[in-house]
Amino acid sequence: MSSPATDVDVLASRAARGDRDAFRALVSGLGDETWRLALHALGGSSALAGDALEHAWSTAWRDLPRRGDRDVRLWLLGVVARACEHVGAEQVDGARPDRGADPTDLAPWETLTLALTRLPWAQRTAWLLRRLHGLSAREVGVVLDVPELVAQHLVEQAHVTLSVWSGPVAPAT
Amino acid sequence: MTRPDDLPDPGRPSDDLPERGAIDLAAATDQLRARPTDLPVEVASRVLLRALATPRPAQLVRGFDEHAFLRVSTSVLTDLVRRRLDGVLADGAVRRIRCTTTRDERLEGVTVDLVARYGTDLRFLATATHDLVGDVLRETFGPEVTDGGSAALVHVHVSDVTRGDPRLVDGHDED
Repeated sequence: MSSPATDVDVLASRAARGDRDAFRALVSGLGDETWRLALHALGGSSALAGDALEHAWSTAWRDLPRRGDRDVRLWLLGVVARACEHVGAEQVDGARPDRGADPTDLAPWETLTLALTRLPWAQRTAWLLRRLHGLSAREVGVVLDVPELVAQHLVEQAHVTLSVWSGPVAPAT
Repeated sequence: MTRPDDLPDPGRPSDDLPERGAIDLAAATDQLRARPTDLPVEVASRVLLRALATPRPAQLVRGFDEHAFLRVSTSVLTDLVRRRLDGVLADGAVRRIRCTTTRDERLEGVTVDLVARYGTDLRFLATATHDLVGDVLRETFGPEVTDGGSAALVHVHVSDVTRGDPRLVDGHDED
């Protein structure tokens, strides 16, 4: 006898079997979280985040049938993280938050956004997933496909670096 | 060797960090977390448009006679069958649809795996499913597709039962 699954699990399974309405509902349900990760990982650039999400959700649609029994949310965040790395690897350096702030007068969140772009990809993503998305170290490891201990070290390294950088950050040249 | 439990909580600044930096980081993190970050509608539209245009690996099925020029992807056929069954079946839900083809791209068979509601008349459910799939195949490829008899072409498997709504069962839980 089968037990009820969560909405996201059901939607992902149906989308994997070709149900386009289920896929639309999945985007509707997890779109905000994937957008938040992409936006923060890509220096607050809406343009880059949009590119990354297009790439990520296209990959998700293609690969859903091969997801197996992996957690839908963590699997999707992993797809988005890899898309962000792909899209932003060379473009994000010097990216600015969208509001076009004066570099000498950044709000703390803008300074943090800029500081995040200076971190190595794995540290940046691990810190965002842990501190902004509230994932556990184990879950961060699942998303990044690394052991839990490695994930925890990545978060720690990022945290230390960001604490040092949390003062005014000069714009990238 | 250090175990995960021995490491400091990354959410709590260590004592040896500059206190001001840690406080500033905490405040900036709170600000960043509080900022509105809903997926913009125009981005969501672009995402869906591109994603759903992404082809999945699939086989092609050839049409018949004057429609022999027609090739339909098995993923499209699966979608058509699923939509028809989802719209009609009340006491059963599709778990999986498999289409098989011959070497010359002829449709060899369509197998529908169903989850049925407990207590449902399975023969009635299977017959209704069988007829609906046959309708979809004839509408897609023409009446010739079932010339050999749809019984040989369409197969219905009832692979599980559930007390709740069968449409709320995750297929992956059951494999």
